[in-house]
This record gives sequence, C-alpha cells and structure tokens, in this order.
Amino acid sequence: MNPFTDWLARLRGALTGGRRDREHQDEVQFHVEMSAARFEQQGMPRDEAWRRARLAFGSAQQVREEARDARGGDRLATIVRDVRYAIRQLQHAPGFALAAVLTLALGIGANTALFSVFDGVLRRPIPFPGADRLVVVWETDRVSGTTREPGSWPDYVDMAAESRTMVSMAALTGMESSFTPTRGEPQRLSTMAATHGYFPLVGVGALHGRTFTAADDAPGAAPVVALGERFWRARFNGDVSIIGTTIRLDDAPRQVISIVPAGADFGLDQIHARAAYHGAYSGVGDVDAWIPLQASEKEYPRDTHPFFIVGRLTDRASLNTASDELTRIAVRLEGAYRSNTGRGVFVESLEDVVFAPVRPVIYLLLGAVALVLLVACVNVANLLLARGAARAREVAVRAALGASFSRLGQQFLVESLLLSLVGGALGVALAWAALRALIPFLPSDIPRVDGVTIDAPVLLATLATSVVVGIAFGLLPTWQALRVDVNDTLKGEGRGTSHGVRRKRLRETLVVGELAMSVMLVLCAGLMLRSVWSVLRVNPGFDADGVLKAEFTLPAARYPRDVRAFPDWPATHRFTREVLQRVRSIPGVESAAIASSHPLDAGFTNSFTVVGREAEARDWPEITVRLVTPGYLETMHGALRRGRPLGDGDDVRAPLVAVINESAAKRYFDGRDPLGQEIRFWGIARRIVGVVGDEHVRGPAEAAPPAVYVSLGQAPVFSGALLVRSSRDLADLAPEVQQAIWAVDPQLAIHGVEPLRETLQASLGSRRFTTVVLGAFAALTLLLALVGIHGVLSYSTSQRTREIGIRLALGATRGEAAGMVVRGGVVLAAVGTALGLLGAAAASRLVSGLLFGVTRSDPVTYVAVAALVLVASVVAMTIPAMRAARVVPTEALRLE
Amino acid sequence: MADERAGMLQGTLELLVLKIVSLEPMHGWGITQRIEQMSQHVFQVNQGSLYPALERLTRGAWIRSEWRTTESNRRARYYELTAAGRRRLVAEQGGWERSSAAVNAILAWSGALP
Repeated sequence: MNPFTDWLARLRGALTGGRRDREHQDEVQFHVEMSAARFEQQGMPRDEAWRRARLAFGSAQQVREEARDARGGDRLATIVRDVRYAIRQLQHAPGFALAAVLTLALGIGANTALFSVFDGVLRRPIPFPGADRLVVVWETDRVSGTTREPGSWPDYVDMAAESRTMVSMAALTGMESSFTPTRGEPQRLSTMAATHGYFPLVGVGALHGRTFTAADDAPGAAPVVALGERFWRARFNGDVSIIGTTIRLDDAPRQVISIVPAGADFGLDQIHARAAYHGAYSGVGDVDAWIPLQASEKEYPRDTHPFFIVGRLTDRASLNTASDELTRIAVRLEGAYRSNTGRGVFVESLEDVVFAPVRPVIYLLLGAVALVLLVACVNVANLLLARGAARAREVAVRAALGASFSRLGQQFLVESLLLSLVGGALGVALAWAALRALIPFLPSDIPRVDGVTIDAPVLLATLATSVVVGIAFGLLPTWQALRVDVNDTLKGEGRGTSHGVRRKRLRETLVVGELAMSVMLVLCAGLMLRSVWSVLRVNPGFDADGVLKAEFTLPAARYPRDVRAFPDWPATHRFTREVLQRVRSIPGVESAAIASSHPLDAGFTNSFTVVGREAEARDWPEITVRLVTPGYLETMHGALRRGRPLGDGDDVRAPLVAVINESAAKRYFDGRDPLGQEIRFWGIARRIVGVVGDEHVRGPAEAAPPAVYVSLGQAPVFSGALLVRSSRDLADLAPEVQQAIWAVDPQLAIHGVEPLRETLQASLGSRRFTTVVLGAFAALTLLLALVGIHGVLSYSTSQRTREIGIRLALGATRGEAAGMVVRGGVVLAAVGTALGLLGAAAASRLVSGLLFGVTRSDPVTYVAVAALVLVASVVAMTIPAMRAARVVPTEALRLE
Repeated sequence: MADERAGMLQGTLELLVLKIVSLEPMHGWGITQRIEQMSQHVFQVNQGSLYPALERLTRGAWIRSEWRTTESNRRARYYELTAAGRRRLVAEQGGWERSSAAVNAILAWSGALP
C-alpha cells in the first residue's frame, strides 16, 4: 500500500467514520442473524440460538473497535471522538476541570514569562557578525586591585599599533548631551563618542549615509553626528532628509551624516556598568547620537583613563594569546612611563562582559520556575488520582465491555492533553500580564530588556511544554487504569480494597513531594528577602527619603571649560548659585545641593598624595573625588565626625580646603590627625578641614570607598545632580524643580528626575529582581502545595465518613474526630517540610552569591520557613477537619 | 486472537479471504462458512478476526465491497476481488507454496544431516 492511498484511506475513514460504523453494525447484524438461523436449523430453541450466535460473535463493541483500528483512518476519528468524550467528562466535573486548568495555567504561565525573559535576553545571538571574536580590553590597577578600568588614550594608541592578535581596536566613551530642537524643550541624549574604527570593528554599517572616517575623527575636524535609529524615528519620524542638515548638540552645531541601526550599541551599556568608573553617562537604553571621539594625547594624557577599548581578535588568536600579547605591551609601557606604574590589561570577551552577571540569575530563576511547573503538575496529577478513584468503575465497565487498555490510555491522554493545552493557552495570557508587572523589576543593566516579548519561539516552547506536561500527568491515570482489577472494582466498588490503599499512598507521596519542593523555593526566597532587608537596613551614610534628584550636563559652548582658568569658571558658578537660589525658594523645599555625582553614583576616582608623604602615596589606591555645594551634608543628612563641613565661604577666592570621609581618614591617616594636613590632586593642594561619615556610593551592599569632598565653588564641574530635600510629595515637586532650572538655563536638558529612594531601590538590581520573582514563585508553589494537602485530606475524610461515624457513635468526641484528620495531615506536612529543608540546604547554594548580611544556612530563616509552612498546612487542614467534626453518626452509618 | 487459537498462521487469514472472494463475491458470514467447509472444519474463523481483516484488505484496495441482496432476500455486504487483489493473491499464493514446501521438506527430512 503506498503512502498516498494509505493517507486517502485514512482521510476517507475519518470523514466517513460515522457511516462506516453504521454499515458495520448492519453487517454484524446480518452475520448474527445468519448464525442464529443456522443454530435454529440444528434444532435449537430460537432464544438460545440467538444467544449462542451473539456469544459466538464476541463483544460487538470490541469487534467494532478492532475493525475501526484496522480501517486505520480512524485514528483521527477516534481522537475527535475522544476529545468530544473528554469535553463531556470535564463538563460533568466543572470544579475539577477549573482547578486543573487554573493550576496548569499558573505553572505554564510562569514558565512562559520567564522563558520569554531568557529568550529575549540570553538566547538570542549578539547582533554583530563574528561576535565571538569581540573583546573588551580593560586596564587594571595593581595598587587599587581594580580589574576593569577604562584605558588612557596613548595606551590605546600604542596597543592598537603594536597588537598582532587584534584585527582592529576602537576606543569609546558614553556621555550625556543636550539636544536643542528648534521648538520645544531641550532633550537629553545618550551619546557615544567613538573612534572611527568602531563601526567596521563590530561589523555594522550605516542605515542611511556613511559612518565615520579617519578625517572625521581627527582632532579639530568639522563636527558631525550619526543618529541612532530609534531616536531618529521618534524625533524625526524616520525622515532621511535630515542627513546633511545641522542639529544643535550641547549648544554647538553638528552636521548629521548618517543613521546608525538600533543595536549598534549592543553591550556598551554593560561595559559602562561593569567598569570601576566612567564619565557622566547613565548607561541605560539606546544610544541616541554617535560622535567621533577626536581624541589626542595633548587633551587626554597618559595618566587619565577615560576610554573603553574594544577589539576584534584575528582568527588565529585566542583570548589567552591576546591577553599575553597585550600584557607584554603593557609591561613595556609600564617600564617606559611613570604614569603606568602598576597598570596591566585584562582581556575579556564581550559576551562575558554582557552576559556573565545576568546568566546565573536567569538560570537560577529558570530552575525555580521549572519547580513551579513540577508542583503544578503534581497537583493536577493528584486531582486526577482523586478523580481516578471515582472513575475506577467507569474504567472497569468499559474494560469489561471490551475496550482495550490502549484505547482507554488514549482516552486518558486526550483528556489530560486537553487540560494542559487549555491551561497553556490561559498561561500565555497570564504570562503576558506577568511580564508587564515583571519588566520594571528587571535590573537596569540587563541587556536588551526591550527584546523581551512573547513571540513565536516562546509560544512554541509553551506549546511543547503543554504537550509534555499533558503527556506526563496523563500517564498517571493510564497507569492506574491498567492496575484496575475489573472484577474487584465491579464487585467491591473499589473501596477498602488494597487498591484504594495504594492510591492513597501515592497521593500522600505526591503531596509530600510538592510540599518539599515548595519549601525549597520558600526558603530560597526567604534568604533573598532577608538579604534585601539587610541591604535596606544598612545605613548608607545618607538619607534617601524625601530627596528628589535631577541630573544635567552643562554644554561646553555656554559653560566654557577653560583648564587654565580653573577653578574660575564664572558661567558654571553662576548656574550653580542661581539654580540653588531658585530651588530653595520653592515652597516646601528644606534644603538643596548640587553634587558632581548623586549619592548612589560612584563617580570618579583620582590618584593623589598627601603633602610631605609623596613616596608613601605611590602605593595608595586612587581616592573617590566628590565635588559638592556646601548644603550637601545638610540635604543628605550626612554626619560630621570632626572639624567643620564645607561652607559658603569656601569659594574661588578663599584658601583651598577639602573634607575627607572616615574611610579615607582610616586608610590614609591611621593614627594621625588628618585635620590640617594637605591633600594634593590635579596638581592642587587643599587643606583638610573636616571628616564626615562614609557614604555607600557604590550601593548599600558595597563598602564605602575612601573619598574626598571639595566645594564646587573651588572645583567646578560640568555635569552633576541637583538634590532637593522636601517634605512635599516629590512627584508634585519635580516639575517645579525642572522649571527652576529652566528659569536659569532654558536650553539645558535634564534627566534622571526621580526620588532618590527609587534610585536606591533600583541599585539593588538583580538582588531585588530575584527576590521579587523567587518570592512570587515560592508563594505560588506553597499555595499549590496547600491546596494539595487540603485535597488529600478532604478526600480521605469523605472516604472515612463511615468510620468517623462509628467512632462518634462509640463515644469519640468531635474534637477527637477532627484531631484524627489533622494528625494525618500534620504527619504529611512535617515529612514534606523536613525533606524540603534538606533540599533547601543544597539548593540555597544557588542563591548564595546574591545573599547579603545572611548566610545560606541561616538558622532563623530555616526555623521561620518551617513554622510558616507548618502553620499554613494546619490552616489548610481546618476545612476537612471541621467536616469530620460535623459528621452526624446516624447519617454516616445509614450511608451505603 | 482467533487465528492463533485455530492454529492459523498470522497473515494466512487474509490469503484465504482473497482466495474465497476470488471464486465469487461473498459476504462475511459466507466467507466464514466457506473457510470452515473447505478446510473440513479444521479452521474456525472468529468473526472478531474476520471483520478487521476485511477492513485491512479493503483499505489496501485489494478487495471492494457493495451491498446486495442475498438469495433469501436480505441485504448483505458482498466482498469481491480487485485487480490489485488478484495480483496479490497470485504473489501470496506463490509465496505460501514455496514456504510450505520448504517447511514440509524440513519436517519430512530423514536423511543425513547436510
């Protein structure tokens, strides 16, 4: 039989199945009649002849089914019939169907949501050709122990010229710039300044126009700009004629030469986020504008490290050979230049820079969500088992009528697949809603968050999951059906038989299992919760509550940055003075300050010496430099430890002073009095007049670095943050603060306007994300496990109604009856909890990297989780227990 | 399975059905009667095997069926051989003869071991 005719026959079978069945019935009828007539001829009474004829034919049902199977096509038809049958069955048990579908929807939906995060962030390849050859070349500092610092311009030039392991290298740095449109408010742009080699290096060409040439990149060349695709579409409606025109960026005209496709900035935000420090750049979202770096050694000498270096390995080179080669070059540079003392290189693949921090978090959560699905499956399996008890009779009757076990198995499979597919569809809807809630919690430095959607691969994965899940828990009732003893079940109603006991054992095992799994998740979530709590309980050295933050960068065109005149920058000083004046006069504002970096921005570091201790200082790590207006300490509720704070009198004309923090006092002046000492950086010595408390500028969980504070009046800076303390609602205050700034400079772009509290929350990053998601999963599984306990106990109570009735009749109290139920449940809960805690002791290793202020074997968390789960379990038992207590003996005994 | 109980080799029933309906179009009941008579009651065909076999043969387009009236004026489904069925019958018959001759040869062997 060739495949085509076979297929035709199947199709015909499926389409004409009903008619064929009727014809078959007629055929059988004819056969039986003939047979009966024959027996009559042999002298048998008519009734007996008919009975014999039917018996001889065997089960009509069975013959029909076998004929149907032989007809082949009817596989499809039987499935259609099974689906109809399954729908009828589920309609008869709407409670069961609803519970099963909802449980599966939760389990599958959680998986869909998390898989879409995995798919959008991790699974997709890097959008550059040959991305596995791309590396980031960090500079290292043996003195401070930092491994990921940006490099200096001359170091980059030397490495790029000498390296044979690199096809090419490029240098770049992110910055904030103000775009002044002809109409409307100024807009802050994420801007990337890159050498002209960057685009060929990553293998991205312009969408329209041309990318940078060496001529564009030469210092003093005509200013040009390439626009990011998304910014171009949003701001210029994708109008190609913008190319060739001039736009105002940081108050200077730049000619637009091209549109660069979205994604050309892949990884740059993560490079900035992982660096020990970088210039003023928020590093979140798309790059809006690209400008040529136009760097020179004169402007960026060897002792400043402002640029990130990327490279492409040759086909023959590896990370190791490149690292060896660049290290040799670094050693040579260290010997040649004093500024390179202690400097080395660290070559890291771009892929690791981007994904290494986020990978463990997502894998951890994928593991957790798989557990959620497992618990959901166990729960549905449990529901099916409970139903199986009720259906044992149905199975036995059908088996007695000649239904084969494979037919029954197919029937059960169709039923469970129907449940899982409906659950999966509902799960996709849940996942869609969950993603909306989840995305704001994604750590801001996570790559390509905007790519997280429920698309075809995600839907396919969900479908596959649903099918696997359906088959997995469909096998359970099938396996059970195979064990149904037809005779026993038909005679004994399947109660009190050994089979019933086996079924109960199985259900109890499943409940213990799901409780154990949920305890594992609850414990991990508990550890995370305690960590977040610990982090938030750390005194960061500043009070973020009630403080509004707004960031800005002053364009050089209107605020000249004359290095020779420093610190006498009148325009900048005037801006600082007038903005603070206006903001302070807003009703409800208690105090305000401007700082080079807000308290959760690590800002920048500088090498320095203490006058008279220059030799010693050579081995000192760099110090964090923070430039603030005198109101800073008051606004941030910082602590003064010794001496005096920076004051209004510390201006351009006054003697130069500085304040250091406690860490700096301890690290550099241990046992000596820092007050009155002179600290020198940027070639300027300043007298230390005070010591203030540490601020955790790298986030609450990180130690505060040694820092020096200098008055903005004596060290102006072109980018910074305005910090405003007020008892008013900060959302309400924000527009007034913005207006105050624009009253001073109507063309200044302002960004990062938000309550500092939110900045603090966001700084918890993946720790917060993991806690939220893990917490949701833990709550979900615990709920499912409790539903499981409740289900098992309810069922066993209903099975034991008669026994309970007898006990009550014999004088047991109602309390004893309830206790009987609870006792059984508590044993299950205790075993499940104990197993779960054991499992958690192992599983907690996976979260240990994210913990803070709590160890993974923290006894308090273990005890608290055990108590929580046991109490919750007992609550879940109350309903069946109360039902047991309410059994009326006479009625119970009359049952059956 | 009925053929096993009746000592009928797997696949033999289909060959026999092809042979019976090659003689003249016949209904299911008639086929069972013919097989019993012709085999001198050695083979008893279980209807539970016959009808699936008829379905298989129909699906393979080796036989086709139509509803006719019997001599006793009843409606019955008559099966008859198709051209493909005739070719298959010839092929299968040849195969059967070869293999039964081979089986017989082995069973009748009384000479020296080869």
